[in-house]
Amino acid sequence: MSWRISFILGLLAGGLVLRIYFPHFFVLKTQAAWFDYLIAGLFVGFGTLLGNGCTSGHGVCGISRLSIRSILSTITFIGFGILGVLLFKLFRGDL
Amino acid sequence: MKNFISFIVGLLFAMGLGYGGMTQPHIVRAFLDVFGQWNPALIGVMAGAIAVHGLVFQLFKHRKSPLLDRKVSPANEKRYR
Repeated sequence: MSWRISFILGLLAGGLVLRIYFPHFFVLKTQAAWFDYLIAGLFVGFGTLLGNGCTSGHGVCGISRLSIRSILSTITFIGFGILGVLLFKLFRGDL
Repeated sequence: MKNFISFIVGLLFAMGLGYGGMTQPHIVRAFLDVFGQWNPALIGVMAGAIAVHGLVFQLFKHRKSPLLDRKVSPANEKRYR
């Protein structure tokens, strides 16, 4: 269990390295309201839990193993991502 | 050792994501804007990751245990069989 904490610490350390030495990777050209981010985060969390994996789990590890579940998962979430952008453009003008 | 490796993995992962553009919403959004102004850049990120992982998986899937460990943890047993 503690390796999970180590992993998260590694992620944070990576973020710190990026921030200090490569700040241009954090240049933002879009801005959304705080509740947009909150809702998006909730959906991502819930969807990942429901699908037993995310872009890295299914998209990278799953596809590398030629797992049918993962290929389907990846097609699903990328498909809905594309749909999401489409709907945003139609109903909100743009993101 | 497990903690150290996990830390390095997290570090690499975060830096790779940053370098690939995943920390910038406009790049992610552009990749999903297939019917508009599409930016296929993120395909490189996924393809690169799959290429590395796919190769390593094929090379190591018949091993009895991970390189730096003595046995396979129960969660991964099916994968290593």
